[in-house]
Amino acid sequence: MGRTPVRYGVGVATDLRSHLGTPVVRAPLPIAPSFTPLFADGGLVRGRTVACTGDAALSTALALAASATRLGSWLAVIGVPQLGVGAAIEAGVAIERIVLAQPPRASREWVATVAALVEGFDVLIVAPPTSLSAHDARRLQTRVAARQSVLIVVHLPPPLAPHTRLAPHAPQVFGADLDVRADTVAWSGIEQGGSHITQRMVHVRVSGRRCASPREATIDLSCATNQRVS
Amino acid sequence: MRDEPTRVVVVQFPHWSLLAAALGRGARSAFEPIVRAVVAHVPLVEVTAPGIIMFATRGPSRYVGGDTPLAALVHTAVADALRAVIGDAHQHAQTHAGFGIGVADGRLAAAIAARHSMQTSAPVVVPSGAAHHWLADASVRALVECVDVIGAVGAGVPDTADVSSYRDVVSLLERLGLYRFGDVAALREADLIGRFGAFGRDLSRLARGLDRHPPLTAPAPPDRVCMRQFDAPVESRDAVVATADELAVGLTDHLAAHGLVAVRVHVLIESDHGERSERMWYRADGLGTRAIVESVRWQLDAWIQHDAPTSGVVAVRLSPEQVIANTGRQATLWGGERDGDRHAQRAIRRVADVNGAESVTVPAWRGGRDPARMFEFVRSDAVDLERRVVSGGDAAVGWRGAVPSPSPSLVFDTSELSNGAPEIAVLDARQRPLVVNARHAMSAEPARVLINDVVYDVVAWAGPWPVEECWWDQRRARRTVRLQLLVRDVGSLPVTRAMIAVLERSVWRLAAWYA
Repeated sequence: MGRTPVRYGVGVATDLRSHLGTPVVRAPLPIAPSFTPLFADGGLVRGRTVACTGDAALSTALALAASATRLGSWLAVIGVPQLGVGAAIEAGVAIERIVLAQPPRASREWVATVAALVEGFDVLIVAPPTSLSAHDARRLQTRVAARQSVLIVVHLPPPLAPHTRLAPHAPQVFGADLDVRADTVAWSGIEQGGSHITQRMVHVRVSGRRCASPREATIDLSCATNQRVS
Repeated sequence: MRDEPTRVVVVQFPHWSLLAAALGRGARSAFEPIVRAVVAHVPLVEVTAPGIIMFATRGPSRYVGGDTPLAALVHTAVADALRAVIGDAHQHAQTHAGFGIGVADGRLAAAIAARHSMQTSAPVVVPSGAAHHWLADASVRALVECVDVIGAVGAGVPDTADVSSYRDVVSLLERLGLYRFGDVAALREADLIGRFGAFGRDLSRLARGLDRHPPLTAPAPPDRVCMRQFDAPVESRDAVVATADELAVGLTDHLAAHGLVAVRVHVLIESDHGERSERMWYRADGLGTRAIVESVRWQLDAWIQHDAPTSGVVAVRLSPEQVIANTGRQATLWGGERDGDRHAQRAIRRVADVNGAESVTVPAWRGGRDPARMFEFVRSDAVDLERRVVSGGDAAVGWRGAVPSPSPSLVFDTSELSNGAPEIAVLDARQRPLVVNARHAMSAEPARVLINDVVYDVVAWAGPWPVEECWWDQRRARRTVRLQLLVRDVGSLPVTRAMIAVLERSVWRLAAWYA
C-alpha cells in the first residue's frame, strides 16, 4: 500500500497566507551601482531596518538613500541637525525631497514623531537618542515594516555630540535586519600641509540576519555617484 | 475674448535676496516698504516674490496721464523707499540695490524692459502695440532671468520634451541658430511644438509678444470666491492663517475639479473696525494651496506690522482673479511619484502641527564659504513643497574658497553667537597651542588635537586656508583660518578620521566632521 508521504508545511503555509492576505510585495528601493554587489536583493528591501556603523556611517547612509530619492522617494533625516547638505548632494540625494526633523529626545515622543514621518517617507535616516528604549524601537520597526519604508539607523561616531561623549559602542536598541559597517581605509590627496582630501576609500561590510553570507567591498565613497558639488 | 496681452508695469530688483542678506534682514520684511511705496500710488499691485512687483497700467495710467508719467512716478517712489530701507548700510549693500521699471504689452516684454531700465536708471516704456518689435531684438537668454515673471518651463505643460529648465531651452535654441526672439517668432508654431513638445506653443506665444497662456474660452466655474466670516473677532495670527489654509484648500480643490489653477488671487482681510488689507498675488505657475497660505501670512504680517489694525479679524476672503487651464499637475492614476509627494507633505504637516513647525525643516541654498551656512534650514511651512526648486547643486561651483569636494557630512556653525561648534585644542609637537599669524603662517606643524578631552594624533593636514568674510562691514566681518586634519585616535583601534578645524579670535573650533 503505497501511501504518498505528507509534506507538512507547504500547504498549511499557503493556506494561512491566502487566509490572511499576502501583503503586496513592492520592489526593493534602488541603490547606487557601486553598492549593488553588496546587497543580495539588489536594493534596499522595503520594510527592513538597516544599521550603519563605522566612521563613515552617515556618508554611507546618504549614499544608500540617494538613488531612491532621485526616483521620487522622500528622505527624512531625523536627529542630525548638523547634516552637511553638500555631502548629501554629492552622495546623489535629490535635494528637493530631503526633509530634516528634530523630534523631542524623550523615548516615547521620539517614537511617536518618527512613526508619523514613516507614513510619508520611503527612506528614513535616524540617529536615535540615547534615551530610546528597546521596546519603543521595536514598535517603530513594526510600523516601518507595515508601511514598507526603509529605516536606516546611523550610529554617529564620537565625538559627535559636542558636550556629552557617547559610549564607543552605543547599545543596539534596534534589531537590525542588515548591519552595514563602513570604515574608511584610505584618505588620499591630503599631505603634510598641501592639497586637500580628494578621495575617500571605504571598506563596507554587509552582514546580519537577513544576509546569508557577509559581503564586503571597498568603495570609493567620494565618487559613489557622479554628482560633485565643486 | 481677444488674445491680447495686458499692458503691465514690472518693477524688478534682480538681486533682492542678496541685498536683504547684506542688510541682515528677511527678504520679505525688507521688501514690504517698497511694496507699500508703490501701493500708495497704485492701489492693487501683484506681488510675485520678494523683488518683483507687477501691475496693470490701465487704470493708474489714465489717472496720472499716461504710461511715462506713471513709470516716472513709481520710479521716484521706489527710489525713495529704497533709500529708506538701505539707510546707513555700507556701500557694499548698494551694489545689489539696482532696480528697473519696464512698461510694455505682456509680462515678458515688460520684464526685459525692466532689465534694460536698470542700466539707464530710468524707466523704459515700450510703446503700445510695439512689444513684438521690441522683443524681436532681445536675446533669448532673457528667458532664464524672467522665470519668476513667465513661470517655469514645465508649468502647465505635461510633456516637456527634453527640456527641464530655461538653460536647456536657451542652449537648444542657440544651437539651432535662434539667438533672438525675432528668430523664434519667425518660425511656425507647429515646428516649435514638434521640437519642444507642448512648451513649444508657449515659446511661440512668448516670442510673438503674447501672454504665455491663451485666454480661457471655457466658462468660468461658478462660486469661485471663498470667504469666511467670524462671529467674534479673531486676534490670533495663527488662527487667521489656519482659516486661510482651509479656504485655500477649498479654493484649489474647487478649481482643480474644473481643471483649472489660479495665477492671480485677490486676498482681502478685514478687521472688526472696518480696516481692510487687500492685495493681489501673482504666481506665473499658478498658486497652489501652500503658496496661497504663504501669501496670506506675508500680507497679514505686513498689515500687523505697518498698519497695526485696532481690532481682531472678522473676515478673510480669497478670490481667484485669473485662472488658467491646469494640465500639468494631475496625480498619476496608480500611485507613483505624485502620490508619494502628497503622502510626504501630509506627514510633514502632521509632525509640524504636533512638535512645532521649526522641528521640521528643509534645506535652502544660501551660498557662501562656510560649510555650515552654505545651506540654511527653512521651516517646512514657509516653503511651497509642491513646487520646490532648490538650486545649489551646480551653484556651489561659483564659490571660490569653499571647502573642496568631498564635502563633510556633519557641519557645525562656528560663529561665536551660535555656540554650535565645540571648542577644541590644536597643539604642535611640543604641546603648545598652534597659532596662525596675520600673514597666515603657522607657528609650527600641527601634531595633536584635543576634542572633549580625547587626544588625537595628527596624521596629515591641509591648509591653512584663510577665509575673510564681509570685511567691508564691521558688524559682520570675520577673519578665520581653516585647517583640514586627518587624525588618529590615540590608544584605540587605528581609525583615521578627517575633520576641519577653524581658528577665529585665537580659539580653535571643530567646524566639520567627515562622518
